[in-house]
Amino acid sequence: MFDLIKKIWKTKTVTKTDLLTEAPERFRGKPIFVSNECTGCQACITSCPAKAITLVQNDNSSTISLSYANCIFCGICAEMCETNAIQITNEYRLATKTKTELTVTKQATFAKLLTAGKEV
Amino acid sequence: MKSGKEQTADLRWTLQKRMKEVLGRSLHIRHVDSGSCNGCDFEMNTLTNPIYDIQRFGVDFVASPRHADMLMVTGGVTRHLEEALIKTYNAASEPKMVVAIGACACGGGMFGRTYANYGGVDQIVPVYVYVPGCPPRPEAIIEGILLALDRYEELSRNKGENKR
Repeated sequence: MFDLIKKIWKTKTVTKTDLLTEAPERFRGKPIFVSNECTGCQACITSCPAKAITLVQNDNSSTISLSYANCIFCGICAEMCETNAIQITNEYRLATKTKTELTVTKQATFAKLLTAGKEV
Repeated sequence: MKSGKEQTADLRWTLQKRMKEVLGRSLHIRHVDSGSCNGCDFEMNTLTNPIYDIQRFGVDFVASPRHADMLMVTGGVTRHLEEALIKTYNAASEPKMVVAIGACACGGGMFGRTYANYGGVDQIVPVYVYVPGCPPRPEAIIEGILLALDRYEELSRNKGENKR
């Protein structure tokens, strides 16, 4: 009884026990680049159904950019990645005022691999 | 450091506080469907259910853009609903706060830019806040409303400075 009143006092509602909790651990939220172990296989780019991940190639470096404005949070990129360089988190609060903030970029470290492919 | 639960529980109280500070009154929202799959619309509906219940904090969904301060647009704008979106935008009273809800409204999402889909609300009308997600959780939408109020405060402050 005392716990119940305490809970109502805390959450200021009686309809739900756990109000507005954090998203569950397995909730598919914001995908992030975690490590530098990207091998440049481009599996994430080809598997993305919304084409949210793109590769920008210069002479010296390559950059992977991921746009949350297009991402549908399916998690296929994280599933396809062999080295777990891209992972899904349960963060879901992504509202922004400008569209440029919705794009994250990552300097890729596989420039050598790509040039080797070109030579062949 | 507060736990995530306390933070999100505070979010709606913060919303009420900010609304009183910025607008001085309650906030009325008109929902515009510009060709969405209804996923985002259901998440918006949950804002008024007994669990989230933001109506008791002074946010209301109205049936006419003439009564609304804010437009919530879902869906990448399709060719046929472009006209509806423009008409609704013109009919809305100032401030015309536009919040793009969902991946389609933010940047095209699954459909992208095709002959029948414009790929984003910002191609047609100016957007205050982008809320990505497919669909975004109701908490994310509440955060989006908060950010829109921030943006409105900034813009109105700049306007006042220019007048002087």
